[in-house]
Amino acid sequence: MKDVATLLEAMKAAGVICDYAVFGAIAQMRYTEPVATLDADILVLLPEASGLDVLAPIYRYCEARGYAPQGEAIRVGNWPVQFIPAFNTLTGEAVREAEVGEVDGAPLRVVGAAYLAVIALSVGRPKDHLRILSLLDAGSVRAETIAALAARHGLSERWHLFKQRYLDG
Amino acid sequence: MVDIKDLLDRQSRWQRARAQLSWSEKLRLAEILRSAALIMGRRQGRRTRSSADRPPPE
Repeated sequence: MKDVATLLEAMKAAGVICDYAVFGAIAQMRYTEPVATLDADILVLLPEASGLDVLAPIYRYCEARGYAPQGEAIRVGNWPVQFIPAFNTLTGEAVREAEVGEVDGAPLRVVGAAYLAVIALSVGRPKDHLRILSLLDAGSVRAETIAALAARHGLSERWHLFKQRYLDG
Repeated sequence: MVDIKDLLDRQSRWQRARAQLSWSEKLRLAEILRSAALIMGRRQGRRTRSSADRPPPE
């Protein structure tokens, strides 16, 4: 994962991306116990004039450095890395407000626990619900914080249903 | 007889201890889990293919 961290920081310094933050299971592990995952998901903020294929500059940059595409991802060291452009105000804010973690001495930006929970709430698959419960169980985020952030992004109803289903009673 | 509450308490302490590992250490564990999952997936694939190769029972 240190290779991934180094690549992302270099990509940011070169202006290929404006910013990035790890999310998904890799980010979750910063706050909970380890979980199984097959790839590393990276949210990216891209420069304005990115063209039709928004990820093309990222793929070109990686290929020039010997990182080959593997399905929908790019193989970096041991990890297939999936780049996902921030797709709404919530994910954009999650990248801008990301924390800086450390992996084997290298800095790696990571989505904060509250944003991770609310992104999971917005996606809403069973594994996303499990992520929210794991974050709450680990004490990484409080239900009130999730409720407030969810409300700010129009997800109050979803949070209400989640709370009713898993937390109340 | 096994004291279930004691067993669950110990398990919970062990799980909490894993959550206290550094992010780097957790990612190394995740890499091991990932390799195991890929190997199991490949084995499962071979098993499925080999049973598909067998002729149907008469």
